[in-house]
Amino acid sequence: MADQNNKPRQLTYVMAINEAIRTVMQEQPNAFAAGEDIGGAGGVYGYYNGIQEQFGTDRVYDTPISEKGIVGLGVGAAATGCRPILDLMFIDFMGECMDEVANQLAKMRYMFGGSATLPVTLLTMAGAGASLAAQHSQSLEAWLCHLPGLKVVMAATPADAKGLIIAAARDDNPVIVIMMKTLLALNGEVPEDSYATPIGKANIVRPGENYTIVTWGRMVHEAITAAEQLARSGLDAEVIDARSLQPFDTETVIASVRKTHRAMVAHEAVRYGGLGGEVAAQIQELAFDDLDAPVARVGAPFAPVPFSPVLESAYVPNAETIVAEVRSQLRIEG
Amino acid sequence: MALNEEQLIAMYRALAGSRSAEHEITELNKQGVLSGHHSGLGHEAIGVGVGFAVRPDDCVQMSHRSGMMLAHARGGYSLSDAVLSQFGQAPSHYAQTEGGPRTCSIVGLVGTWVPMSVGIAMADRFRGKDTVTVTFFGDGAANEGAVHEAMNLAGTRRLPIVFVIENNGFAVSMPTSEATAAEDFASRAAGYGMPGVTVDGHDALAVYEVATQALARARAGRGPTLVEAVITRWEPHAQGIADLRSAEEMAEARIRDGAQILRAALIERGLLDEAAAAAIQAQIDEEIRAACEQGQSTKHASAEPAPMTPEAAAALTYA
Ligand SMILES: Cc1ncc(C[n+]2csc(CCOP(=O)(O)OP(=O)(O)O)c2C)c(N)n1
Repeated sequence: MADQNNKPRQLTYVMAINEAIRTVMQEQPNAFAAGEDIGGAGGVYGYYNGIQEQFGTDRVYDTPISEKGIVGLGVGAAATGCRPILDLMFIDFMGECMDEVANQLAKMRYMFGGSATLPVTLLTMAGAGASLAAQHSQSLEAWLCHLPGLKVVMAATPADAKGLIIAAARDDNPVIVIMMKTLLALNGEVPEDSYATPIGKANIVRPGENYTIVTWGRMVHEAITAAEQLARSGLDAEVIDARSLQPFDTETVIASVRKTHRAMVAHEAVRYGGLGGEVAAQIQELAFDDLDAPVARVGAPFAPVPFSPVLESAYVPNAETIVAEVRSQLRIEG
Repeated sequence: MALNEEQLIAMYRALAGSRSAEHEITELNKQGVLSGHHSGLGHEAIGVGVGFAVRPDDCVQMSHRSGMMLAHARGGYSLSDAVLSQFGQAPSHYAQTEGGPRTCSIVGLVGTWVPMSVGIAMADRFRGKDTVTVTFFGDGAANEGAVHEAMNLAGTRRLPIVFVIENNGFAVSMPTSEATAAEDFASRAAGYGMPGVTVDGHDALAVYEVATQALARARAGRGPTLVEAVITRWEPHAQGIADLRSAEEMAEARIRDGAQILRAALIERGLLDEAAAAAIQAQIDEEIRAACEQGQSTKHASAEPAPMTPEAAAALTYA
């Protein structure tokens, strides 16, 4: 039974992020936040609303437009005892600070022989669907998961947005929390208390018997819709929200495939070189004999995200893309 | 090079016209007919001043603020185009037109284009041209590392480039005074071994003057200049993003008005009178009204049209 304070109530994804940041700031006296427009403006997506007011300008640093500087100062401060929450308005801005992320944040502990601890939480917004064009719409999780030293999580629900941010902040490793701009208004049950969603643990969001869809981010919702459509063709799909992409919960995925014998990986990121390839490889390595069909992959075409809303909706994978791919994989007619 | 009477009137026409077009586009956003615009109201005199100073073969990297005004002032881009482009009915000012003045479209990551502008200046000199590259960016973008590297590179090679900072006092919500501890941006130029000039960005003639000198210097092989054009941002950062300024501060931002300043200057010189200015304005209003009507009717007539097929769009990924 949930206690009094832990009664779930409805909260939007954006408010869940806000609550998570407040919780972390309260729990950790050494936590500070740094990012662009996170002060009085409350962040361009509003999830910093009221936070600078509550915690003051010393702990909420509204920075100049200097992404390299933001991540770099986070690395230095983390190595010397702080627990920074860094904000990268869009994941696309990773390009501006990739040296700090890939070469410093990810490697410093290793290169210092384990003597440096880097409890950095990096919050960033990803995904297409808002007509923000090629440089503000990408899903770049594969870039980050390829870097030993980083943890990478992606929140598909308000409850996980809160729980993953708190988990990231409690972790002594750098954790990148990828949030989805198209989910900001999504409502869901969120416990009031402080809680951590375990990093490294997938979530079976729809149990099913004879098909497995492994997915993350916004595509979790598309996969659930697709599973409902597929149910009408007699396919009972299990939908797994991976949530944690690095480390990845291989065990949950393999257990599912052993039961269902057929699988797909679906993500919004470009299909080629996407994390789906890694997951498909893991499945065939560990459950080859259980597979009745090759592992299917759904992802965006090998092109930048278009600006035109019409082209963008043709580009971004959705429930229909998933259903069509399942049908072609399993040679289901109609 | 002083502008003659005819050019001065043309400059006024361009300034008043782009002001009116920008005003209309901003209003259509507020009404919800259009969305997502980063209003350039208040920035017009910068685009127009530089637009009149550059040659058609000079390459200009425009900004999301004064780009439209610049394209209009350089020629080949009408007010009607400016309005219709917002409805997807005409190419935007960011598009390079065949045979038109050389411009580079903005990219979405602020400041990141500045090193690329340096590359353009380098290529032009490499190929024996006497052209100059002008690159615009904001006070906020000026704090990106890429901008510092770019200015340093340009300084070391004495490249033919002019850096124009549109200092409107804000980067989204961040006041310039909190984003840099320095008094101004022009003084940064010393660190790169180039002259830095501050100019009133609401004064098109002053902008023209400063730009002309910087262009001449660059063309003569004497290297880059950093121009800081100081202005006020009249509108919130973009449609849909609340402004933290009070109503009073927002009203104050509009006191310096580039169109009025040029108009007063021309009236004082006896080149313009109220009647002539009103006649120019009537033509402008009519052109914009017609474009709005056309834009709105096509918008209502059809759902959002796709500019091309998804396959054609994807094919743009590679040469
Ligand atoms: C590299 C990068 N960081 C952050 C942003 C988000 N952003 C878009 S416009 C803007 C403010 C730019 O300010 P400034 O350069 O002063 O130009 P202004 O918009 O005020 O004209 C910011 C922070 C971005 N687009 N690119």
